[in-house]
Amino acid sequence: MLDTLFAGLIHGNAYALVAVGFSLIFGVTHVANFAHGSVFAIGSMTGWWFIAERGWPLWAAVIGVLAVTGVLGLLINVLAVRPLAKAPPIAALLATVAVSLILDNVAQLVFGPRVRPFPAALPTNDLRLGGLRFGTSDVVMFGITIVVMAALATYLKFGRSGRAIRATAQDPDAALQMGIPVPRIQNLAFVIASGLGGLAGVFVGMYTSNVSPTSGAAAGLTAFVAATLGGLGSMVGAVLGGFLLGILEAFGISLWGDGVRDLITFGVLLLVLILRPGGLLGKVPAISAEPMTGTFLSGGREIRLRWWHAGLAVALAAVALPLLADRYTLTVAAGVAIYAIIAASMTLVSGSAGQITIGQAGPIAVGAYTSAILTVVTGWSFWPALIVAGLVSAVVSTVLTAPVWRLRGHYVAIATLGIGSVAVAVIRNWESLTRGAYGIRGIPAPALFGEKLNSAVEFYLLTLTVLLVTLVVITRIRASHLGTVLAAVGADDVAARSSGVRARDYKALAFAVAAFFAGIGGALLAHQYTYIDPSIFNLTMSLLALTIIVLGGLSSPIGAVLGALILVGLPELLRITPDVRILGYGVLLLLIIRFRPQGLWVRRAA
Amino acid sequence: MKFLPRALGRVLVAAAAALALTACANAGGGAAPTTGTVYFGVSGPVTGPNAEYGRLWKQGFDLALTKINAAGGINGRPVALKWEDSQSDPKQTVPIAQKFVDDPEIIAELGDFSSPASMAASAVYQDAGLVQFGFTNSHPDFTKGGDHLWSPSLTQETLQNANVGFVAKSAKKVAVLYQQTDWGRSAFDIFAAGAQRLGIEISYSSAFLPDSTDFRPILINARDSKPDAVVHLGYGPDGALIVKQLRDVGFTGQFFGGQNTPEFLSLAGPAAEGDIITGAFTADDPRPDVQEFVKAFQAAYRETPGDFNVYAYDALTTVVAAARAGGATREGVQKGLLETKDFPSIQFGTFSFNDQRRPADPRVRELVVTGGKFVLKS
Repeated sequence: MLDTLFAGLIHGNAYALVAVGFSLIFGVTHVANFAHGSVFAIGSMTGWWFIAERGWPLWAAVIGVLAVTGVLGLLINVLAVRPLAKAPPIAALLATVAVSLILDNVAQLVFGPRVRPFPAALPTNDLRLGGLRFGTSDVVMFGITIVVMAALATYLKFGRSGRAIRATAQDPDAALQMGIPVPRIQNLAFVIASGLGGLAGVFVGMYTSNVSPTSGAAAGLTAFVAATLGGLGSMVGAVLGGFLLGILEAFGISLWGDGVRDLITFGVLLLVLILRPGGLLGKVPAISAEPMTGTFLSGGREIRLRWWHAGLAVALAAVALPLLADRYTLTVAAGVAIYAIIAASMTLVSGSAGQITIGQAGPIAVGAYTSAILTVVTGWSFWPALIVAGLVSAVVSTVLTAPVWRLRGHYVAIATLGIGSVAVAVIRNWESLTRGAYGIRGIPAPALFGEKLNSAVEFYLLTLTVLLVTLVVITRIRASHLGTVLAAVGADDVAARSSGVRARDYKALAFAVAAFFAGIGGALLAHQYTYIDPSIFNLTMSLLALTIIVLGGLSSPIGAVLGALILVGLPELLRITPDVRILGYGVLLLLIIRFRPQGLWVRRAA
Repeated sequence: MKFLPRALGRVLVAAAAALALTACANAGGGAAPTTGTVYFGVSGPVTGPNAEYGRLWKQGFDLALTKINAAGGINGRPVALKWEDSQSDPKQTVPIAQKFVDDPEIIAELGDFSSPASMAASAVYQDAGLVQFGFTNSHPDFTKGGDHLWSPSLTQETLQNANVGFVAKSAKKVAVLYQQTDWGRSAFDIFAAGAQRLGIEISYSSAFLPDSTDFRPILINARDSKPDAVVHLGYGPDGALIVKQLRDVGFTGQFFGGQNTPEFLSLAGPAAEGDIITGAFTADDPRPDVQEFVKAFQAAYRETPGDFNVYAYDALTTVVAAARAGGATREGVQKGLLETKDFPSIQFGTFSFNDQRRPADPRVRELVVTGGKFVLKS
């Protein structure tokens, strides 16, 4: 019992360090920095390199890591985040996703892909207190965390630039008017936060002893959750959130086993968000600026497509491509079409209703599993299963997200992340229905009038047809009265509610429609792969869906098709340079966001 | 936007018509060339979280290629590989499968690494009649997808029944920790059934997620259930973490688990000493074939080979042997795999495939970590 508490505290300690950096950056720049986990991973890898390969003592390695990750933080802000200050916040978020891709791959090229043993700089198992066992390592880590946190708190409270950081966090415009050099302060925040991330990397390396260049994604996500638990932007909250998460995870895992860890992590997140929107210590913003507010109108308008353009594009896609392209290209094109179906429907939520979702893998998984179970276990044919997959996905998502729509700002996005993860965790653990980690095999190919549609051309045309139906439905909705109401909710939530629009219900409706098509897309994926298991529906998938619509233009279904073409097609195109394929993908993504933050298929407003 | 829906509606009809018209597409690539280099396609993780396994494969493949080509390739024709990076991601393995299937030069495919990535692509290979040689796919269902899906990978049936037998020799009561994946789950189910048969009590068991790093909460429970031994069913990195943290929480009994890779040994360090694992390969094996392989490997890479090097080496050796016997065509590989009764291998010695397209009666052995190396248990 005490052992478990102790294990939770030590692990929570590491969470807290990463979460503080995350929260600091969020407070000062209002950007959820998805590259923070990668900085953490680079911190642990450089720490390993300094100690194991260069033979440095621990203190020198820590200073070295602080320097490396600090500079890295500065670069991230200067090259990726700062140039997007005037763009919608989601563009900056996406830039950090691109940076994290780049950093992970560079780290993998530099340090090699293998997991390394972090040298035991200090003993991990030499102390006893009653029945408890711990090491000097744990005590030192805990001590340093307390010192660092106290120093940070003092600095933020009394230091000149520390106060400037707080002022910037409170109101950047007012801070600027009072003569605070906001850009420099933001640089400073990035340096401090990334240094803390690097330090955490070293500590976690010392604690768990395995380090690898790809460990950042999990660490970054947990830090994100911990920071949200405490209240984004609140340092004390981040520390509290980190420890709380560590302890709750330890007891939850002790009770139910480690297989349900993500269920615990994201379950706690959702519970806190529902009971205390804004986190434990965060304030619910009084003048709530929805992250997308205004961007729909002022951020640019969708480029209009003339009917013969559309006709030509469809003719090319439906007739010319199947005739000219080889089957490999058509298989890729089918993947593009499926992601376009998922993404185009998300424009209703993100573009019209102004809500960001980072958890679309949830509805996709529900759809994929519904269709798989119906066709494999109960022997339904493809078409009814496809429709039911969409419906089940819509219903499940509506029920799960019902409490979410009273949240504001970034918290909606975070809650959808939690729901997506919980949905997949439930699928993984509900073994009697979903076969859990075994996955479902032998999902039959779609059939039309008794003919199996399993060749590359047939499957491509099937997905293309579904995509066109999706586009018609989505554009019809957007052009209808309902679309106008949704746009009103997205453009100004308060004004819409003042006019008697039940904003929450409309957001939920938009999400249900998106979930329906996500379910359809998931079902198509399941029938293309013929085998699915829960590991397929991960955060990368959710981020891909989001990236597609941001890239295309949040309010543009056509842009979503374009985004899918680039994001799903490009990694295939980049196969000519296999070694740096994903690295090049990250760089290209960053450049596109940098120079067209409003999206590809959107004209910048004058 | 006004015209769009109507226009789309129109072309929708056209698309549906096209869909109906394209009832049949031509199957398979052109005929395989009969001279020049013979190619095998490799779909595997070169980048991404599983890139380490891709690196280990490449070492094994390259070594096998050198040996095969020095011995005259396939009936005088040189052998080469066509690599595609899949990141072990099903989104990418399906197009890769289509690419390989349409490339007439490729006569068989090797990979992918993880079961979801492999099985997502299986249907494409099966439909085209191209052998998919999933040499790391121990998923019980992998070869059930069709007669062109082969795997020399030991099934959990074989591995865990042997494992539980070894465990029974020294323990009556065990705690079991298994990875929450298709691999770990099937391992646990078979292990648990075997334990019941042999009268071993499982005093505590828990799944763990593959990306977990802190196992203390479940290890404390495992320790408190007072088992004779702790059994881990998973991979190398998580096995190393578990054995180290197990010692940190004060368990001193026997540990069974980890993975037969240099990575596991270097990660676990001294904590792995005495660890017992069920495997087929050890660098200490006195067989001349094995010693020749180990020497060549060490000369080429200055490392001791581990399981994944051997899997890759054996996989390429096997498909080449099949092509030598049946002919350097797609049908030839399939025929060779069906008919050859004495494939040479480092892991099992000579072996053949059973009607499940898995090795028939493979030899597994009890290995123990002694002095930082896996050696045969005496």
